[in-house]
Amino acid sequence: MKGLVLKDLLALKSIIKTIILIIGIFMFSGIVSGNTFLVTYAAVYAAIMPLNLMAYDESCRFNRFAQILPITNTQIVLARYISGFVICIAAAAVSIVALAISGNNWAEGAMAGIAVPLVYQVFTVPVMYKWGVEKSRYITMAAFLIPFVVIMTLSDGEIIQNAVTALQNISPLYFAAATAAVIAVMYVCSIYLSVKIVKNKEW
Amino acid sequence: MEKAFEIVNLNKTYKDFALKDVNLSLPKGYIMGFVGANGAGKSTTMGCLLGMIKADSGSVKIFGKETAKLTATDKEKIGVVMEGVPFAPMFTLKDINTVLKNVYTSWDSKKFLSLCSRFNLPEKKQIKDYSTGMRAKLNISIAISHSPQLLVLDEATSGLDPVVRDEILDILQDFVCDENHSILMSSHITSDLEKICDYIAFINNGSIVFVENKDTLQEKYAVVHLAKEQYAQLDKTAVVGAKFTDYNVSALVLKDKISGEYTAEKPSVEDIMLYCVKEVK
Repeated sequence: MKGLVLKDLLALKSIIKTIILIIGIFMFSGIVSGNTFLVTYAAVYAAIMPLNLMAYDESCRFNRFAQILPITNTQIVLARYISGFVICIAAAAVSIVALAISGNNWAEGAMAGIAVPLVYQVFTVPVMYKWGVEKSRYITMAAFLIPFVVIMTLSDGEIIQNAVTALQNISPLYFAAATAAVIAVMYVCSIYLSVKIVKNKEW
Repeated sequence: MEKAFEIVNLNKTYKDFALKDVNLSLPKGYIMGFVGANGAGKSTTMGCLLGMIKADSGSVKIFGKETAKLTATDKEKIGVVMEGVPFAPMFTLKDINTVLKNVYTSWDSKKFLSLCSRFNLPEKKQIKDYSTGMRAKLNISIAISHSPQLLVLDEATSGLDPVVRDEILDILQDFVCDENHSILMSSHITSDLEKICDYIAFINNGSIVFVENKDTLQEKYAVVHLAKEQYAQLDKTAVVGAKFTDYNVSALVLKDKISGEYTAEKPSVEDIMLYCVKEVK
């Protein structure tokens, strides 16, 4: 499994300079303008990185080759989640430093910086295993946008506003713990689903 | 005789293609050439053998074990070459070595790097900049650097010049010097198969046409060139396939079943393959 995680990280080697440059520009703009989203832009990259890694695997048919490697399908899937997790943590670390420099609430920003890409990965990885990278881009976009648009249309954003207010009233510690627990459960379900898909898939 | 692999009554149906009752087995220590036209079912059969494709019915065993039940230790003993290098295009030899030495317990970095250097593969170049021949050589190097006992090679020598092909065939022949080592290789370059294979399996439209010892095969059949009148008198049960021109007929015949005076040629594997799909009129 270590080999597979290394494979994912080595695949980033050639694009890492470009990523650092883009994140750097966004972060600098964020720090200067005080825009928290731009400061935590690394999280956006962390979220979409499994998609890029999966695209590499798909183009060179690595998953087919992996079927004859001395590893199980569970290990293949776990390696993909570990790589994604490592990337999220690295991105969050970068965001925390940038938030601290910009004088923003780094704890709040860091939580969003970790939680959002992790949730995104939890959803996209099984979808990618099932339908491939190309289709999963549209499916994921639809899955995130449709509920949002429906809620906004039906309630003029009231539901979202109420939800945000309710969340703001929860103690940050409880909120962080609850978020971590929900993400952990989602992770387990997502891994279980991905393993099942990979085991039944033909390469 | 202990078998490297055994496929019994394998069936797999797709919308537009089906493998039908494929039976194929290879004793340890031998090389089997797997021939057939594009889309005949070679890669699907190999995919089923390696567990990449799930069979609808039938049994597929490697080293006496159902493919689905192969352990990591069993898989260490299988080397595979499929179409394309299975790593991201920006990978270098060093990257591949780093990954695979952390995947195979039996991975031999020294052997891998020395094979790559023997094949003149540039160490610092990314795979995307490799030529087709270089990629084929890299795939072979990957397949044999973890001391496998069974090699499954799908078009491993395609795109290579004759000199390199010959070098690879030598490596493969050395590989089977160990009586526990076996090779199943598909190729359109039938002359390569003739050089090194002990058995030839021919698949057409998803069905195995024959699996024979190469020498037996070439003794069993003959190519005869006849005038149309002579061909008309020939016992048609002896004719496997025939090619017709305006005046003559060339036919692949079963040697035992023909009598009379004919000029018979020893057929090549390619001849046998081609005539087997030609209709007898």
